[in-house]
Amino acid sequence: MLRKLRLVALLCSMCLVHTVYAQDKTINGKVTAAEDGSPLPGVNIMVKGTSVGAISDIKGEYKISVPSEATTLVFSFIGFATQEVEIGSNSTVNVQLTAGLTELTEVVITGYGERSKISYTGSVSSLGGEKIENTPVATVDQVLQGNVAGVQLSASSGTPGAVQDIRIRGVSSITADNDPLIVIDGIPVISGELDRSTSTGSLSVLSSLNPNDIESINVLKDAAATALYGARGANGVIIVTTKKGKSGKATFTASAQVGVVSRAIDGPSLLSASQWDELFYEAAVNAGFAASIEEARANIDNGWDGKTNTDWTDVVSNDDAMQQSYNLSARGGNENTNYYVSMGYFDQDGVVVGVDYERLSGKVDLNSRLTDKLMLKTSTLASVADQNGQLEGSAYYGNPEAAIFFTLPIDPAYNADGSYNLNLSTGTFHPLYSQENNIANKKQTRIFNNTALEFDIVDNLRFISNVGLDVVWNEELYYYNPNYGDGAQQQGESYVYNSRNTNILWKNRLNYAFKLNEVHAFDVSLVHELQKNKYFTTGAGGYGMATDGLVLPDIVATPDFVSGFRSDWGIASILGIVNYAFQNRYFIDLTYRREGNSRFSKDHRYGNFWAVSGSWAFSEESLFKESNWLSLGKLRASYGVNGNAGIVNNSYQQLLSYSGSYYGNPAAEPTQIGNPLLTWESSAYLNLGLDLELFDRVNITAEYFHRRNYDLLLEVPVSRTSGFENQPLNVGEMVNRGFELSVSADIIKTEDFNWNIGFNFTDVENEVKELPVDNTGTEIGITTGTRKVTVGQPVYSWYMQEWAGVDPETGDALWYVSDKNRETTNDYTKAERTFHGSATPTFYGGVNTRIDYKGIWLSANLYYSTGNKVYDSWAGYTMSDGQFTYHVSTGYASQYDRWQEPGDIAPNPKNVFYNDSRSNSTSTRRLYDGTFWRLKDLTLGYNLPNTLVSSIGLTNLSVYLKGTNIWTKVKDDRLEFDPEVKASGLLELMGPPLKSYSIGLSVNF
Amino acid sequence: MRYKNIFAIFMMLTGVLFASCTEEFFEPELSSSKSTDQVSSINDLNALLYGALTRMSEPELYGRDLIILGDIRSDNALSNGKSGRFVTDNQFVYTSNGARALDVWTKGYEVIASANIIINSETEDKDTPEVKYVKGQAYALRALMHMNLLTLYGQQYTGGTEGVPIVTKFLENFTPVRSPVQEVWEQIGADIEEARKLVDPELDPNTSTVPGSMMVEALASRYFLYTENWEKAKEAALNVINANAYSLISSAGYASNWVKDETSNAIFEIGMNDTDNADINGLYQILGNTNYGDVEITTDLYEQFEAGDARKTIYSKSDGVHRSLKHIAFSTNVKVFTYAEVLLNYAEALMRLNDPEALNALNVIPVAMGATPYAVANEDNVLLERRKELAMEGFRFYDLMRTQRDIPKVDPRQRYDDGGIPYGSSKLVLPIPQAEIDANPQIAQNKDY
Repeated sequence: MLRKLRLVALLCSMCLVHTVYAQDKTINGKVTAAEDGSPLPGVNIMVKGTSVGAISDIKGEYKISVPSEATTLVFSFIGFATQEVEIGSNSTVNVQLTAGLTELTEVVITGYGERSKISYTGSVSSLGGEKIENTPVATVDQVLQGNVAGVQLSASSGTPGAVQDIRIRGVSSITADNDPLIVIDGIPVISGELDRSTSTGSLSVLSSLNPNDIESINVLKDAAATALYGARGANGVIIVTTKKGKSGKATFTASAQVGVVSRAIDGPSLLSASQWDELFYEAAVNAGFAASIEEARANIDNGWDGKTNTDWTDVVSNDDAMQQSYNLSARGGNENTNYYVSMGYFDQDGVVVGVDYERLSGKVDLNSRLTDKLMLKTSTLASVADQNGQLEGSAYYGNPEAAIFFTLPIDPAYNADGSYNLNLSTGTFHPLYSQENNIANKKQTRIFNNTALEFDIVDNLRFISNVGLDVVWNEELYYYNPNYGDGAQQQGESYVYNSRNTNILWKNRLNYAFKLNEVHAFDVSLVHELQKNKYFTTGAGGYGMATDGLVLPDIVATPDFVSGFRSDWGIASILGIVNYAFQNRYFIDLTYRREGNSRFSKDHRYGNFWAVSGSWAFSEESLFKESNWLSLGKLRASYGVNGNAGIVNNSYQQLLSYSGSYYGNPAAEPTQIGNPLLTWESSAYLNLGLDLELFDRVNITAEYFHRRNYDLLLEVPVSRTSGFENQPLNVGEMVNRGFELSVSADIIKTEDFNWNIGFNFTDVENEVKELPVDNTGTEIGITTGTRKVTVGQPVYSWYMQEWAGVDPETGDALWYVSDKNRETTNDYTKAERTFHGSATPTFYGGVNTRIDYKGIWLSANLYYSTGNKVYDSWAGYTMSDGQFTYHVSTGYASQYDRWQEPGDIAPNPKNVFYNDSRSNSTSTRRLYDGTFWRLKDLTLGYNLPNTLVSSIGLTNLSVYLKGTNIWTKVKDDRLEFDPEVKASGLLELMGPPLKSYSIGLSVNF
Repeated sequence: MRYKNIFAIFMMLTGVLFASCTEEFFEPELSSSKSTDQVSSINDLNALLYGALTRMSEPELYGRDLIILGDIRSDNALSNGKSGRFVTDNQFVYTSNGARALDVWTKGYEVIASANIIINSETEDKDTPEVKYVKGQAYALRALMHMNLLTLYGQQYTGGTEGVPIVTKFLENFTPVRSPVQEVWEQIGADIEEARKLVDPELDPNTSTVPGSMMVEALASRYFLYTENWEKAKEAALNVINANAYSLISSAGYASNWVKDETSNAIFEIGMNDTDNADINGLYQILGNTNYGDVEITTDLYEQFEAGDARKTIYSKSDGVHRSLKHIAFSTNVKVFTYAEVLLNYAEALMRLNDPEALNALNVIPVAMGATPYAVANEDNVLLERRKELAMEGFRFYDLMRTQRDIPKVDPRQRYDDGGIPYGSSKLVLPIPQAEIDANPQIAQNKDY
């Protein structure tokens, strides 16, 4: 592929260089790649300050006649750092070019070879390593947010290392997988999590990657880009390219970073003890327990000592939360062999006491030219991650985040002697005791090896064989101490799980590049690919533990759980790629992939996926070629069909599960209806794009997309009387359409002072177009407690009763009867459920800027998201107007502003003990506008002057201060939680997202 | 040449692999499941029956909800809302979107689906007594679950006529409509008669944790009581009594004996051992004095027991709070049919038939428990004795309903209206779940939902 690239560049350069001045000196030389010493054809060689130039030939050799006053030659080539060389008195100038970071955006990495940006016809967004390294996040995908158009992320939990929900250009499937495919150095890998337990957060497989080992991330969006990945490309593809070796003297990079971590958002204010006390007696009177407040105070003891006022948010938060990371890497090599080696350590505390994440990682990358025709590339990543989590996602009594809302401010957190007050008035267990004495630990070990052999058979004909081995082990331990809390009743509980996922991929590619009549350039690839994934897991545990300090199931008296099972999937495909270029102006790409997937039955296993795309680099036309304002102008269009097979293994089979038992007897249960006709979900994708580069300073990319997902892999609800809940069918249709705009501009570009500003945004509109129907033609939709999937609305639109406020006369909660009937009712059951918009953001983007002044730099990244609403899942307790406020949970401070007497205009209704008015039932009262702005990153750095640095033997030394998520603005005042919620839009008592301030140091030598 | 060879080898390998691997390569491994059409032996059928029983043991059925729903909606129990559970049940407030309406419906029909696979199976050894026996057991479970679903979702107590869908075939009809109440009762009766034919007492296992011939008779006596066929209720009850296989829990050590598994009182119980328990979602946690213990008994129920009544010992009282100790551990089996119930079914049948023996029959339990015998056998006394003996076992609501009585409010901490819930109120039936209506739009909803 690279060779083809060079040919294209050769062509391109031949067109460019056309003016020749009088010359009086000739210089010869050879240009080679520093990486492997191979000759570089097509390198553009210019005399600095003139338009005199030449191109290196197929052997990398060149000859140029230069004016006598010339002093410097400039060597430039796509994908390599531009190099300036003094001519002096030499007549031979040999140059080694190194693959350079700065030029990286000129190359698009698809996983099936590299493409020059000008010739690429698909939709791709890139993020260079400089934006990735030293980011204080546990999972590298977090850096995409706000930096890349079309990508929307939401953290499933703020616990470091947790899985991120990634949506590229909207939600593409209703019940099948919506996550993009992750590809590391050309190998598709698993993502998500391997965890067996769902109640203690998650540990993302992607967290095993050290951001500092990453050279770039490319996000492939449209059909032209993703059809390469066939049945798995419909949700987009994220291509991670790791750092590689560079020939030359060994260079070292060392970096260190330490920082403090806290809550990105403080979270809801809660009732103070005195407010709670006041409301308590008012509620008692309103419930008829007493005739007056005085009488209530005289007769009912609410347990408050009159002094205590505990802030439980403060109690559970870790005031000393820290993060630190240290990285060391080395690169170097000779002309035949080069290497990259790194080690990294990352450690981050969560903001809840006892939550932390730690990763130790290493990478070895070795490239060697075995013979002049054979190139070996191998790379191995290894990492060990360790996460201590917390119960989360529900109001478990042991969930410290829930403890904030399910304890009362009147309960002291500590006894007089400083010990924990374990005698709380509500059911919640003391969160500090639980966090200190229970264990929710996940460990992940990953080894990922990728080896390729490249064989140059004859000129322009190349065979590449790639083997990827990716093994991930997960160990989980859940321990509940025997003394207090969740484990007390059973004298201690301990459960362990061990899971292993093995993913093997073998990819063979034959590539041929040729030209017809010198103007028609073809690059053709034929690929065969096999991938097999095997998962094996065991688990065991029980209860009854005699002593403290021993936490593994080996000591349980009653083992009550054992499990062990396997599952696997396999994919086999053939792929044909044709890239055609005409005069470096017109480009046409054809991609065809036929893929078989074990997730479908024998007769419906194979699918055909394809894309056709073209682009016109109009800046190469003579009209613009002379212009000095348009350096690149390109129109792109693509259309294609790709697929999604993101469903549970074995879904097509009708199954009886034998995994159960009844009273010691083996039991079988029908668990799955199956569907032998099941096959791919398809997506027909149209993408139109315009790329502009103006004045060598301003880059603009604008895109329109229309993605129609059809034959959805839909878990269609079936009558529960069948004994099943749903059946997977290929039915339904959904459309996502919208546009993206990315702009990046170098406002100031001088030697000492540079200022770049950029922004991107994505507007995406989702609509369900078709759903299954029953035999009378009535739609079979999906209704959850708060959301509904129906034709004509965005997928999973909010669907609930509409809150109409509080009746000023009676203090009753009111709801609107329906959309049409705008009368209000105080009877919840008389109010209809109505639609209230999208759970997924419809408009999001980021603003980035960087200012460099004499070695000092300041960079910022602001993220913006709107168009969605978020639902407060637990407000049924915390806004219960008295139903739960005095014995189960506390209330938001906003509850204090309540109706008290006729005529009051108040946001909250009458406060009644055991309130049964249903004022806290599901309604838009608990649905908030999700719009927010967040300063994701703010960094101030300083590169020490070279003269100073070199005097102590370094090539570079920089220090910086970095703030992450340090400022957040939420539009809706009622939304006091962190606005970054999981893709479902439900606020669910998860570990809170983090804010951090760090200081870092980075040296090169 | 060397390279050409390497290349040739690669290409050959690729070709060979692609051609040969496909079949096996694509065959996904099943490590704990089999295809439904592979049901072939008595072992498979027994496993399916145990599977049906496992489903019955889940929290949505006998593991918790079916039991609690019979008491929390009556004068027997209340929800303190400690962990926020059974609060709306205690308020008689349900929504079609709520978990309760959905869960019981879903799990109930899952048991029926399991039973239907057994009943309709065509195994090679289908005529052996063992296969007939397990089919009879499946008929009994299908009858019992249809009866539970009918009494929860049918309109018979709210003035309507719609029952619930009758399902007798596995995966046959995805859009069933509700059968009239009367037809559902008839189907249950037919299933019971089928079970009586197939469940051969000779093959009865030596455990009360699977349905046997006496379970079928106990089920019949309950069924005929609910359908007011007093003669047949009496006959079925007598079939159990005359078997002389059962006895009441002795009054000495009553509380500790009651919670034992497979006692002489147990005709059919759902087996619970350590691996079956539902942890915080189980009966033990919801009834016990734990942080998850939402369900208390009313003071009124507690006070029904005289001081000398052995049964009083199974209710604890502390800090003015009363609790049932009938499920003292995760592993306590859940009683579904007891000898005591059969005796009470018998006494009630005799009372209805104006049989003079009714009073003696009614007094068997009070006398054994050390309570004052009744002076007269009438509906009030029969219901009172049933309330006391079968308290917190999931009967009270249905006893009040089938005798067309209102639900009285007896405790200020109960969450429903002070006036109680009048018989016929639309609150006395659960809504058909929204998920069912989504998937099966032609099914009729109950009034006011």
